[in-house]
Amino acid sequence: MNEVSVLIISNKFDFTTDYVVLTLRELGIPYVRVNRDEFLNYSIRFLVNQGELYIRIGNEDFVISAKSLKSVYYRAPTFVRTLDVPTEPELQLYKFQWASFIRNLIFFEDAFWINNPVATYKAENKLYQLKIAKDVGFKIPNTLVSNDAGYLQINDKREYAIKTLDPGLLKISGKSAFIYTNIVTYNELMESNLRFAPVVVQEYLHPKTDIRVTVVGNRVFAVKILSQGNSINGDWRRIEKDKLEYVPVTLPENITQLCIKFLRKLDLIFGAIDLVCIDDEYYFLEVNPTGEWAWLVKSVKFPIHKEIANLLFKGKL
Amino acid sequence: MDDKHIFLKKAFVYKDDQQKFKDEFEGGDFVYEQLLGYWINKNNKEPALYDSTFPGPRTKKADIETGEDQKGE
Repeated sequence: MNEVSVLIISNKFDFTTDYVVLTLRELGIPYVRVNRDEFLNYSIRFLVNQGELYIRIGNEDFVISAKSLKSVYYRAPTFVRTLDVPTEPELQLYKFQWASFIRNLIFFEDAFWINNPVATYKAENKLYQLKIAKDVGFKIPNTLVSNDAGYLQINDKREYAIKTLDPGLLKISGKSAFIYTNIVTYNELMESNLRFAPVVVQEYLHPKTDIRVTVVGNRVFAVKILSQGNSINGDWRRIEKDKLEYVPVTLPENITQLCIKFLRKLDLIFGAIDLVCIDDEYYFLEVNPTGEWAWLVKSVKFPIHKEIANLLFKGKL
Repeated sequence: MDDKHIFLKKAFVYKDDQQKFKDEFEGGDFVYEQLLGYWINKNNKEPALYDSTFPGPRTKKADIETGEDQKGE
């Protein structure tokens, strides 16, 4: 029987988890990785009264209990989207019941979580993020939300950045689609139909430099994102990947501290923060509590995985 | 006023879906090792992340929206 010190909840294709697992192995930490897309390969037995979760993978048994469990690395959604609900009843069962099982692992609430899903659920709300960012001292863009262009009551005939409140994942004619941040003119905005869904309207900050800040505990890793040596207009995620460069930067100390303070306020240990810099002024855009970061290990050799593994090992900040 | 919501006018439709991303891994030289909890090269059993021929993680988006932040299902 393998007593588990670190429980990892992920999916098979989350390569950030591979980085963390390999580091835990180097440290000799007993762990088990449970993938949301692999439950058909596991047998589980949860003795609720005793607070013991047994998982069989292959021929190995793992036990998770308050006695042995120190930390949890949680790389899973906090709620289930219904974009791709399968038609087969078995797959529907799988999707919704296992998602609930994963959420129920907050049963082990005394462990050290990166991140606790309850905190993540709250932190994923964009307007709440902006409020907290402003409260801790960040500059944020002027932001409105509306479903009626006529009710926006904006008179400044400049360009605006429009964004979704929820990640803009769609299915259009059976194909996956995504709504990136879009830059629109005043006229286009005023003439648009917003009725079906609220739209986040922000002042368009430009020319700007995009900065991705990955915070792990009290460590901050920052890159500026350029394309062919230049700052990017609009949403950098739309740029072809081979035209993007990630350049490590050292943030001003006050901005570094704001990033850490911001995450503490949200009860998060990990966060991927998007900032923009204009004329040496930093603006907060958003945080992703489960943001991707493996691309930063590969591209600029940030030891994010080591930092996460060390915290999981310590079981505290 | 255009009847289509502005987000639908601006939505970026991907050519390929997430399954293509996953298909790139399944059946190739790499396999996910259940007990170890990471991908390995089938031939030498070494961690795939240390293998220069392993196709992921390349960039933040990996060609299609894989549901960044684990929000997509």
